[in-house]
Amino acid sequence: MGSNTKLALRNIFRNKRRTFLTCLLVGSGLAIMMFVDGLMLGMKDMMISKVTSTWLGEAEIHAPQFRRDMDAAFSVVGADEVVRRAEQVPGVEAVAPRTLVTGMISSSGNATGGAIFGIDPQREQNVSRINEALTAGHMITANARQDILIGYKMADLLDVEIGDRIVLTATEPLSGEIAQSLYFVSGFLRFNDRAMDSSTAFISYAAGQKLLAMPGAAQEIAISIHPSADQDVVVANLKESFAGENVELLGWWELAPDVASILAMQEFGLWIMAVILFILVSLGLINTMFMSIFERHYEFGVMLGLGTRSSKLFSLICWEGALIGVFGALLGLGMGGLANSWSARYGILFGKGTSEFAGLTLSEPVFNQFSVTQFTSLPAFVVVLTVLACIIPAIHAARLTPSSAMRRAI
Amino acid sequence: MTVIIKTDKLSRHYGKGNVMVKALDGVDLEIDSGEFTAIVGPSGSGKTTLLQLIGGLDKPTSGDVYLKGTKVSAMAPGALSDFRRDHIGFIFQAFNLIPVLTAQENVEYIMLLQNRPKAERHEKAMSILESVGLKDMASRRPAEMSGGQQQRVAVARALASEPDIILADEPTANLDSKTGADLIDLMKEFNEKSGVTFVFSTHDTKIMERAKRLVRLVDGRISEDIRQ
Repeated sequence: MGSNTKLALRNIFRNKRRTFLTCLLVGSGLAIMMFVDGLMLGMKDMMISKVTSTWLGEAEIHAPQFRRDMDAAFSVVGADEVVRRAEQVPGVEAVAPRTLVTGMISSSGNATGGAIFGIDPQREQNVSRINEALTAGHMITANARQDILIGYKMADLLDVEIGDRIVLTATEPLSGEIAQSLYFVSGFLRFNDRAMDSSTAFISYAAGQKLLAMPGAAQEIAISIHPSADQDVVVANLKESFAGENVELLGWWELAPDVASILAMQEFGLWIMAVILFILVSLGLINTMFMSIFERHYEFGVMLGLGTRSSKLFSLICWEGALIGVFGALLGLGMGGLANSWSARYGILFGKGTSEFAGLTLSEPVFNQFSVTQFTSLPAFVVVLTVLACIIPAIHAARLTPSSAMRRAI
Repeated sequence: MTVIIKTDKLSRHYGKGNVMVKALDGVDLEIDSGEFTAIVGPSGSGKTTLLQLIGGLDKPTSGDVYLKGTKVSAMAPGALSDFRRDHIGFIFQAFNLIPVLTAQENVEYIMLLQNRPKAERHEKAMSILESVGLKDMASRRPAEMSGGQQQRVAVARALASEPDIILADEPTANLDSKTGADLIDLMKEFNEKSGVTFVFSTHDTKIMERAKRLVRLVDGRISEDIRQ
């Protein structure tokens, strides 16, 4: 161990209580950052899951012009082949084709506009949470001709029960003719998403294609990605597979840019918070270091008198700061790790069960997550910041002259 | 005899105008190599200031200090630090030692600054501690030693760097008279054995008797210079 390191180590343990409290200050800052990072990751995970697994999927394929006006005329032709090819891409877990048209949904009591999806229930259950969303009745089957599922809020609006009649009215995209079909309510859905629960209806894929008079076509092909796969990589591979073809493939972050923006802002906000927090910690540390230096003025005077260079005194103080930073970081890793472990196990429930954030309903607890950053970048940031906080006190010590140091101490 | 310490119209003032204090006022002094000199005088006479200026611990307001023919009063801080390290040993009145280092480590400290190899530092430190009668205290920290023992370790440290000059500022001030006398006798012994020049300040008359030369300061000026 170098002489300066040994001297620094012994110096910081001269006043064990003060050193412990200072390390606790540094460690608490790190622990808070670790917890907040873990919470942000958990919230991000939950929000992405909410966005993608509720209905959107991690990626979708459309005809290039479809998303501009949601015009059903722009459809993916030969949807079955596209589905088959998408399934071949490594990392893709499931693919589900959907018809989609905006139309009128009417009951004997009321009428409302909404999105009418034609789904393949077998495939759909692997891409979205439609099965879990079923609160009453039964799921439609693949070839069901007249079964319809609607959101529970729409059911309230239309004043219908299971088995009641619903008429769907839509415009056939290619001919422009009005198409109407009669269905019977087979079940209600609750996605805990305002738009989905009040403005969507689901019929079978075959019924949807018949309603639109577009056999073999789909307006939307939803894709779920295997949890262990890298979403960015899989989406990039999907785009490459369909490059140059008349389809548009988008990742969830492109389909829901507002949510993606909020998540990006969260990460940025975390670093802003880290800087503010550590400025406050640094101020406490600077005060402690100055106290420690003022107590040792005479000693520094003796050391300088013996022939110790100012630069050596400067590095001694910085070493003391670095060691406090290291011990504080170790303490913080322990506290932060425990806090994250607790929250990862039990979760934190916001807003007594249901709260809304960025248009998403958060009805489940948020479970903290661990990350490499918490055990590498954040502790390193703490140690570096601790050393930086010691620079001003170190400069003060280095500027002492032997006689003035001994005089100030008397 | 060669002159090893020379001051030329050395002055040190503190403050300005009506509140200016002349701690030293135009002191001319020459000390030969190997001398055992006591700077005496009442409190505030400038003893500590003179020693600090000779040792390069402070800058004079005017005048110069020459050590071994080198004008130390004009040296840059880094070069002055190195000069002190290699040529001057210091014994201060109190709190001489680095509290977190053992007696041996305190003695080795000066040799560490001189970049001497570890084995050499260790051997020399133990040898010097033995010569001051403290070999058994080598692993003790200052808080575990008496005042007299701490000052002996300070003497050992001052000698470890093999200096040409040792400056001791009231080294016996915090010691009882017997311990103080023993310390001065130790310093005198080393002065006679190794020829190191000793300059120390004191206002203890019993200690003065042991010095070969007395330089009396009053109000920052030399009033008497007696060779005993």
